[in-house]
Amino acid sequence: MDTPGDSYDIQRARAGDREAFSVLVDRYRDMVYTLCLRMLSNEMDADEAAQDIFLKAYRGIGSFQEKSKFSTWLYRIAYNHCISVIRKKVKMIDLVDEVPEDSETATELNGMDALSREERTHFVQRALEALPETDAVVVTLFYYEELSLEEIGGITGLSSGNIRIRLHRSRKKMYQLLTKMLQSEISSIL
Amino acid sequence: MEKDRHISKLIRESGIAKAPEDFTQKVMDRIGTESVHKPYKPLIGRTGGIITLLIIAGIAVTSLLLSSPGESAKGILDTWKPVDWQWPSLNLDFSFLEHLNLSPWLIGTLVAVFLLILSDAGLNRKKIF
Repeated sequence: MDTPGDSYDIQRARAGDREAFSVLVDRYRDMVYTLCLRMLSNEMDADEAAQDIFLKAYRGIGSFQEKSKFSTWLYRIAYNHCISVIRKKVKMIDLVDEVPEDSETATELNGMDALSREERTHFVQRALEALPETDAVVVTLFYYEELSLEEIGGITGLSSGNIRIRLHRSRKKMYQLLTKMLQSEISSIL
Repeated sequence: MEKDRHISKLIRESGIAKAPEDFTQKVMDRIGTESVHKPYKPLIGRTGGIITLLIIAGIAVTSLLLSSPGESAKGILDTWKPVDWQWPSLNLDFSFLEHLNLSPWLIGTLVAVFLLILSDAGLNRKKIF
């Protein structure tokens, strides 16, 4: 999602222009924050991690070579930083493990269409948060940032085949999770 | 396939999260603070320190080897040697130190460089600045 202005702002930021760097922060803050949120599953941690990532980017902008997109370089920093935060914290709960891989439920997701957009978004966000960190990043970069498998591979270090499998697995898990959520929502209404 | 399409549509529709309102300001404040309190960077660095220490050791060893055994130390080592010193029962022979012939200037320089490396490493560890 590099915008035409990136190159100009990067040049100025390299020269020590903080205003130019703040433009870059403004441009990418939501995506970096989303990546952190997907990986860390906590708003406070995500906020702090996203700040750290931009700080790292500021320190390292001199070494950024415009061979790759600025966004790819930034997301790689974000991914690696979140991985190191997770390693330090050791995530205790993995909700996805509670859902059997092959549990097919009778309820279809059609009921989602009956919900308001806000409600649907809320359920999808919860399902995304329940994915393993790397899978959540892959889904986020693929669907929201519309990066190619190769570009995602450049950020996460995964092969295109592995990313494709993770995408498929994530969709399946999300489908199962959303179905369960929808079921419990319906039963709570009834 | 239908499930995949459905879930893909839902994911796209949900959009990305919004960073807190004051996020950019907080980042820029931290950048500003960091610029004022730059972390201490060692003057010599780890590799440089090791190389310098090796050079010092090299000079000391070379001086030892090049000193002729018959020639007693005329430098400051004579003043360092205790008059009635007896080595304990370890039977270590340090008599070669008598043949060490380093000029006080050289010794002073080596000590100064050694202290510089030591303080440099110490400052870097404590992050005083």
